[in-house]
Amino acid sequence: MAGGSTALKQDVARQGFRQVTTWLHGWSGLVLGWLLFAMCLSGSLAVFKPEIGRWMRPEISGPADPVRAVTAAVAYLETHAKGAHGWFMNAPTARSNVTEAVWEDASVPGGFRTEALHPVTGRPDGARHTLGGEFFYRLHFELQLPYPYGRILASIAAMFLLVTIVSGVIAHRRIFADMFLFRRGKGQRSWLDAHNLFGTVALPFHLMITYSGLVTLTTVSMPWAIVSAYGADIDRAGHEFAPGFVERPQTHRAAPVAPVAPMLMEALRRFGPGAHIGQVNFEHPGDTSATVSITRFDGDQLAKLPVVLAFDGVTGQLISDRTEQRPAVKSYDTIYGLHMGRFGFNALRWLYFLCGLLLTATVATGLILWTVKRRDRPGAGRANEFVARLNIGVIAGTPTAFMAMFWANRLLPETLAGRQAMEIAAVFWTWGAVLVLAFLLPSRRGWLPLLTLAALACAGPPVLSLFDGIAAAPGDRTIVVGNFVMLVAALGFGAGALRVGRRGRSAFAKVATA
Amino acid sequence: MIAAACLALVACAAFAATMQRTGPKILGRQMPRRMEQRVRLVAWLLLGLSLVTALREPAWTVAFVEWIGDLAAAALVVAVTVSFAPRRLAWIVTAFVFAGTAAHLLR
Repeated sequence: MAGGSTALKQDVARQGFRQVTTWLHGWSGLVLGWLLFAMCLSGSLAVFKPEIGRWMRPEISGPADPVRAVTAAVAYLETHAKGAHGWFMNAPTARSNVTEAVWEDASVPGGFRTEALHPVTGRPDGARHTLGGEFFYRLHFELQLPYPYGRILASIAAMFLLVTIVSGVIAHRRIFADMFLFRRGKGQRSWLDAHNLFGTVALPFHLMITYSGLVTLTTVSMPWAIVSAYGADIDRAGHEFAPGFVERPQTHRAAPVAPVAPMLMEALRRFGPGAHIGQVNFEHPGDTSATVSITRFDGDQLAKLPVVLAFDGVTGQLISDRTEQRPAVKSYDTIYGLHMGRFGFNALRWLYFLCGLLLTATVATGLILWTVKRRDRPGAGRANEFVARLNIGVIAGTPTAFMAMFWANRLLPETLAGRQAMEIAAVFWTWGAVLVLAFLLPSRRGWLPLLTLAALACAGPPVLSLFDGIAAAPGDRTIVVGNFVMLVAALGFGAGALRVGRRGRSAFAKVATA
Repeated sequence: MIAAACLALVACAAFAATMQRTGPKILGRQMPRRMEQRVRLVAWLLLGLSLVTALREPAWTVAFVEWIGDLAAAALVVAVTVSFAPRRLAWIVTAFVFAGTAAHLLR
């Protein structure tokens, strides 16, 4: 008897544990689920940040020479970013053919100007003015909110996602036993199968990308270690974390910037054969305290920023050559690099994209399951209706909103003033409009128009490309591949719309013949 | 890396064939218990071989990350096939392996 009651207790405890976990999985997934959907989708797009930039700046095609491009960029910044505390640049790579530059500018919101500078002229006006892939990259973790609020919210969302993934592995019992199982056309069961399938096939990736994403924002989510060791002296913390980036106290005495090309050539010589230039940062340019830090491009290894050279910005002399060796920082850099996925070759990038979309799809099917499960419960009522409509607006509407940027990029006149901001405004106005639409339509009828809209939104830019006369340099396939991906997405949403439409008609037929 | 991806695909297909719910869909009947155990063992060995193949690349750290992605893609191919054309799984896996070998030889 005693043994039996112990077993019963254990059974209750186990069932209770699973029930609690299921509850946790559901709610932790729901609360920030819509935000996570947008974060996962924009993160997946950010894998192709340089390629999206190339698609959006068709005027610049073909490869760029990094030394020449950075030299031209510095010449531009010397006249147009005078007095800025620093200039921060990413040199062109095999994938990106512009110099990405950021510098302080009080006249723009946020206080920093981000520009893609032409590889030959160094000016931002050689191509249509756009943020390109940088928009999706920033949206992914800053959510278009002022610093640090966007990053705080993103990091809370990532924490929720991590809890949801771990609890999901416990709550969904047979995910490994039924790993390859998807039963079609069975309502709730099909949604559950799809959710399990998307979540399980790339589970190691999902865990890695969520955890490493949290780590990249660790100074925001867990600032206490820094506070306890450094107090308010954030500058010292930053310097000790990355001592290779030499910074000297400003003297406020003017001095011209030394030519950058010899420094870049020296850096390439020191990095060794096959290496490329990564970041080029100027601290206090135009001051006698100026320094120039140049990093080796980290696209051929997991960890980010392995080697940093620092030069005197006035004399051009090398003052520091540092390769990171501290195990703790190397671990951080590796986890950070793992999240960014800048390394490796095309195949790996497509796998990152695929796994990112699988995570997006897991979030989407999870959100849909929430409503499907509760749809027929008594008293599900208004709250469920709200979730259902928000699901339609976010899941079918977010891709439409993101595509608005591609439309705006092609439709706005090339030389229009403020077109960079207008492209972004197009995304948010579209997003608002599709959400309003989702709330105006009856919830069971919302999928069809919004999925159709998403399909049209994806098909638009490739179709436009037949008429706009934009042609890339021979051998530059970025635009063609980009258009192809959009067409595939259009087919996907179109298939979804067709399916919903057919189901809608058969439901109607049932009611009509009853 | 193509070899690692192909091995992972064959391993996933073998796992699917031994599983309670997907096995009968693929084979038309449940596999005998003894055979199931053997096939599962072979699947694990193939998966291990796939990992070893990936880790033998010079940039093995990057190759390991790619292997995780290969595994996801392979599992997805098997799951989609099992859902839409379960009896053709063997053909489709073979086609993928041939395509992979051809791509490798042409490079």
